[in-house]
Amino acid sequence: MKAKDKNNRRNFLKVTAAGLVGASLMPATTVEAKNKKKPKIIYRTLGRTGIRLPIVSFGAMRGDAKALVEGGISKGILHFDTAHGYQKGKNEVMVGEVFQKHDRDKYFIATKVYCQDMDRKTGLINDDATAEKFLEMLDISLERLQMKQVDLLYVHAISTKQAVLHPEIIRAVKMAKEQGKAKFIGVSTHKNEPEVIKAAVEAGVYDVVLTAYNFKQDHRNELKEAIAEAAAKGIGFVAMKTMAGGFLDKEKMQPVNTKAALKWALLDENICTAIPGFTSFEHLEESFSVMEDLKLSKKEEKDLTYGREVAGLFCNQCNHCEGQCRNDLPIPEIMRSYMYTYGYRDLSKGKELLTHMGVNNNACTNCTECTVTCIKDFAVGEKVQDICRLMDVPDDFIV
Amino acid sequence: MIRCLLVSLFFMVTITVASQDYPAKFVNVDGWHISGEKQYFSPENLYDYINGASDFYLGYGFEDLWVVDYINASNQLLTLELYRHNNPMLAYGIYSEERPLKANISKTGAQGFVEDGAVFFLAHDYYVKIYNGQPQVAKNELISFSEKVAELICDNCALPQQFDWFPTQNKIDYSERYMAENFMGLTGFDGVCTVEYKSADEKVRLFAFKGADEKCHALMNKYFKRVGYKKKVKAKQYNFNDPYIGKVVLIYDDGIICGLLDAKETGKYQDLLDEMYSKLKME
Repeated sequence: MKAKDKNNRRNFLKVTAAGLVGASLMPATTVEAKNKKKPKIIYRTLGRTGIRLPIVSFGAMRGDAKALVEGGISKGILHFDTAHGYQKGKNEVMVGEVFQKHDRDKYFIATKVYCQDMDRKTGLINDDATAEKFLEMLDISLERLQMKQVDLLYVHAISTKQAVLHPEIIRAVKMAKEQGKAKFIGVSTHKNEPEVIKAAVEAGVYDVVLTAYNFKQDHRNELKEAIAEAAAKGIGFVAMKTMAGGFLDKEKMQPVNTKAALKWALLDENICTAIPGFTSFEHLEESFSVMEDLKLSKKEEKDLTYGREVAGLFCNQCNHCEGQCRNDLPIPEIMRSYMYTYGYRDLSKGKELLTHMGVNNNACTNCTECTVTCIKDFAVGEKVQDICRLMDVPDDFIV
Repeated sequence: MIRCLLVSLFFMVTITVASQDYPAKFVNVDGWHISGEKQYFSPENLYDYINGASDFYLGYGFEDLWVVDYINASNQLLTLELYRHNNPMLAYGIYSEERPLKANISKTGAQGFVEDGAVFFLAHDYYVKIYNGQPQVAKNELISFSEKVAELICDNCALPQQFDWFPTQNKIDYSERYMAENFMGLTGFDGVCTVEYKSADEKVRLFAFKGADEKCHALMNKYFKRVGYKKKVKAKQYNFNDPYIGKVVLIYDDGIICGLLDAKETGKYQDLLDEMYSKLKME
């Protein structure tokens, strides 16, 4: 370090010493006094478990999670959710460390264990699956959590009826309960949720379903019905993915109104609680504040409606349509251009993209029937013909 | 402004187009060839492949994932997963989140670790996972394949230099982490490096952030607001008793925020703090 730097450092250390005296801040009691305003908390019962939980719970996986979990505890959150697979187990270790400092019995801790013999593409469990293998993973989870028992054990990321009803999975979760390693059991799902929920009822052994549930899902009405039917039969529901990814677009230019999105899910009284993955204290405060007034304001309703419209326009670039077009058109890019034009009202951006991809105004010439199919059921041919008209619009007319 | 938009659009379009083609450099891995259909995942459908963990990857600037099977002349199969992130630091962030503290560390790429039937490594902006298939490949062949893939990504893959800021004494091995977003639960406190240290009875964390002074100043103000401290931000060391995270030492200086967390007696670690601060100032 140069002499000048040393002086700076010396000065710095002097200031530091002063800082330690002068800025050894207000005692903790003063700081905490500012946080003592008791927020309104709404409780609901988690199905047949009979457990009462605040409607806002905690998905412990993102951000500086340890600090946030402590924040959640001090706000009054009781239910914390982790998983065997998050951060290759580090997330469970973190949750375990936090709850070493608190009265474990006051909290409702859930973890999720994935069946390693499940085909990721099909969601089907193969013949190699055994209850013992599943329980070995649960034992590892309990060790990481430093707990003898979790309050709720989910079979993680189920998307088929076959997986819910698989005899080895059923044997595993029953054994987990009998051995006292899990107080209650459930399944988690964010794909084919209605099928999974119906199967969970049919299985008769599951207490809870953790389901993706948000205002943007195309099948939200079907899902709502499945939830209502299962709830009537005693299944408790926890909602996840309520914020629908936090943004309406890939470029993250258009944020979801997350407070409104959370309210939307919680307005369904069959949902006991939701587990947002908090990333900041502001986010935690905002989510907690939905309990002050669950009703959606007019603006919030409008934001959600807009969000749905944009979702309807949005191509997720999954590339499934690649090679399907007879004219070899770049369909994902054309769908993106459609979103810019109709979603963002940015005609310039839409046209630029079409120009860059070499798309002309009569791209569907010589085609009588569109051969492209879309996993989101977009009417691809109609959208292509519609958006390609943009190439006829002179640049001067596009603001 | 319009020029900026056009430039951004140009880059966006380039990336979009490129992201849908399997990178040519991975088509031929010496002794192996691609088998079956290649799977591509974008931020929008990553959850289809890794479920709930996708949120975590998205927090680390996940760009895209290719999942591709390779077979060799003996018809043995390996599955290559190429997670590409927005920049090497973000790739390091997600890699270090998943690297176990007691990992079997390998020299593949910038750094890697080996588990039963799998190799994981970091190489530039890629976090790479390679899984053994059926019929199984011998461990040395699995590692050899990993090294070939790493070489296709970077010649001299290296770990981020930001961790050189941290003292080495009493450092816990492989505890370096990169917090991509909202460190200490503070919105906008993104891109913070942390390292853990052990003492007789506790484990503490040092953290460091360098950025525009305007941003550092704003972050300090935001933190002051959170803890209800009403004085003006000055270049000095502060001791706080944070209602959520306990004792916090924060040092703010021109373009630097660093400090200490998780300590019962913060004074014991002043030497470590001073050493880190000096290195940050020197750079």
